[in-house]
Amino acid sequence: MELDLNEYLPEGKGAVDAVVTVTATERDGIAGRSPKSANVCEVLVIDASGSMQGAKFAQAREAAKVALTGLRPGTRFAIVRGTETATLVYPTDGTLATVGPATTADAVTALRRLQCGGGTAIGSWLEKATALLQDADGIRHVTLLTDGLDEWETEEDLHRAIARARGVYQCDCRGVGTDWSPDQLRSIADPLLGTVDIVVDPRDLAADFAAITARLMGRSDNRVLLRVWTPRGARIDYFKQVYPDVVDLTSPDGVAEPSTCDYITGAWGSESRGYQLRVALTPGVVGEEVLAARVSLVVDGEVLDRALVRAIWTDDLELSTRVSQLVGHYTGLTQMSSAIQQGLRARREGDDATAQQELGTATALAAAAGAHETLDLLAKVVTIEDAATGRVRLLPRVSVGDEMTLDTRSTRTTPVRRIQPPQA
Amino acid sequence: MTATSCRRCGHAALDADAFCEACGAPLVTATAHQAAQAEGRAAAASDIGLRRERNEDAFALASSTERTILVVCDGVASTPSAGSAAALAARTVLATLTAGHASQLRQPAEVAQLLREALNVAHRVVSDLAVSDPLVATADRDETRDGAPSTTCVVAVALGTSVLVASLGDSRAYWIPQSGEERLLTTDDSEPEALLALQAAVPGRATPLTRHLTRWIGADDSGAPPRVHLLEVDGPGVLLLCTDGLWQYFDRPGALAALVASDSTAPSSALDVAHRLVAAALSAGGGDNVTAAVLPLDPGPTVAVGE
Repeated sequence: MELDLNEYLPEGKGAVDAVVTVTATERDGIAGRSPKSANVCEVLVIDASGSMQGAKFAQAREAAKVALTGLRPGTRFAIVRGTETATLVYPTDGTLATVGPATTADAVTALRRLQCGGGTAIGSWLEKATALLQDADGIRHVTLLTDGLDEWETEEDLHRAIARARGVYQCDCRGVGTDWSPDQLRSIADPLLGTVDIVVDPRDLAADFAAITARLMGRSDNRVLLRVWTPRGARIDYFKQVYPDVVDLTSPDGVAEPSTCDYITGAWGSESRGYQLRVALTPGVVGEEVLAARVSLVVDGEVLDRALVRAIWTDDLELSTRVSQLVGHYTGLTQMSSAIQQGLRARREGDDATAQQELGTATALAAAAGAHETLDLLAKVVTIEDAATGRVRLLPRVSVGDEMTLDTRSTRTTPVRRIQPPQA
Repeated sequence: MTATSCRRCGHAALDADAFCEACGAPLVTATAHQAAQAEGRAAAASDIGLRRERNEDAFALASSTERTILVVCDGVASTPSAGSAAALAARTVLATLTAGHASQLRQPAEVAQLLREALNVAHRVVSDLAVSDPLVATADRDETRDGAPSTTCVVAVALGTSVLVASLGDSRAYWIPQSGEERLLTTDDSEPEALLALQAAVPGRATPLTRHLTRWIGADDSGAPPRVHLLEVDGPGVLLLCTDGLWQYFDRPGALAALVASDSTAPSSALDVAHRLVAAALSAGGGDNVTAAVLPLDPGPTVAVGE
């Protein structure tokens, strides 16, 4: 666990920003805690609404097959068909099957017989997955594929289903084609600690599902949570994941004691994640020091590591005006992500002036942070005249796929690669 | 840490990080008569000694697979809030050395610059103590003391077989090879012995054991960068950082090496060695607070090539 912040505050200021980077490796206690033979339960939810008809559905069936073959023997699984309601494809008795030659063959046969037709009610799909996974042990995961908007139920139905699923399973969402909403899938995947991605060409689905399955198989069966302690009178302004993508975690999942908040982070493989928090404190006088927060890494109830976020008030301007490299980097990328989303929204609404301004801001922020992949995606939507200053022009014609890819991947962040010695 | 209550809010339960579990105020170390900690392969022990009313020494340790950091500070007893100054300096030096970007540095030249930076930041922060710290004002102000809160500081960063050491004041770092005499790595920032002897001869002046520091961390120090020393370890041994509460009794060549060398056959842990050194200072008189931080290092057989 690594901490990055400027703990020196000028008199009168009462907010501390810090970035905590948690790295899990095979050797240490997070990823290496349980062997790769971790208990995994996987539910595949395949959109079978009428609009999937044709190549999309054929590729979706193929992708589901690829995902199944990527599961370790012994993994428990189920396949759900999603329309305006959710129906069990395999097994059909409401239980989970265990991966083996016979069950995989039966599941593939069931997939082959699958037909599409009907509407889209994603909340009901999530509810079905919750029912299947609620009492299961180990890592519980759902891969959800859709091609359209959640139109056959109310927004409240969907929110309720998400709330019930949270803590039961993690859900990676994939949108195929260009008729679905990145905002909507983010609203599902974020609280369910999963990822969102776009698959414009259905032929790429199988490779994407294979990657999801491989990542799932690399995780350990662990319950990793971050526990944030703050002193009396302090408040956590925000707590968000900032790497590998931006996810707001501000509402905590539990309160262990009055002064601590727990944030669940799901299962981990060998990976690194970054978190940013801001704590609001009563400003101290010059020379005063307080512990503003303590971030503890709790795995299966045991504290493995902790980082102390101090705040020290000083009248030394050189100390208090420094900006931590990581805090600056991720603050910029978070702003980039929201500028892209606002710019694209304005563009859809025909407000070209705002769109150009927001996408220009996003371009400058991406350039400053070295987010080259995002810059490449931006270049398909705007002509970049000068990346550093954010001078851009909207392209007259933009493919819907490119626009949605930029939207979907706007939350991805890059780590700081340049390592600079501190200024003397 | 000896159990006590927070001086700001009165909360009774104390946490292991030396901050109040209720209000986050730092716990004044004057109450820590004895303290000990092991971190990775390093360990440290501190004791109030037999003559003082407070322990105004402080230490801080950090350890990762690549680096070990040891910090030892000795609050200057003639200044107010010396214990707070020492604790704040130790915490600040450690925090500066372990902050995200800093923890990535591996080149000795970069780490040397980082050490100067860390002591500079500690100097600035401790200087603020002189301005106003309401907590300190009520906690360990002492009418008999004057000047700005001050502390010594010695810090070592061990990166594989390279050890970088920086110091301000008269806390010391030694390299104690498995066989042979200890080697002093630092230079005391204090007035020469000859001058001390002169002062001792003047009636009513300082007692012979009061050395006069020429550098320290605190508002009335020049703030100029400290010297940084590089040690390339070429055989097994122990890195020791300590306050004068230890070395004043064992300043003869070989005295510290003899203490570190265990006479039992069982290998001793770093914590055992730290405790043994502190106990030896207490037996020798315990006239001052005593703190020792140790890190056993062994470059392994590959280094012996060419002999």
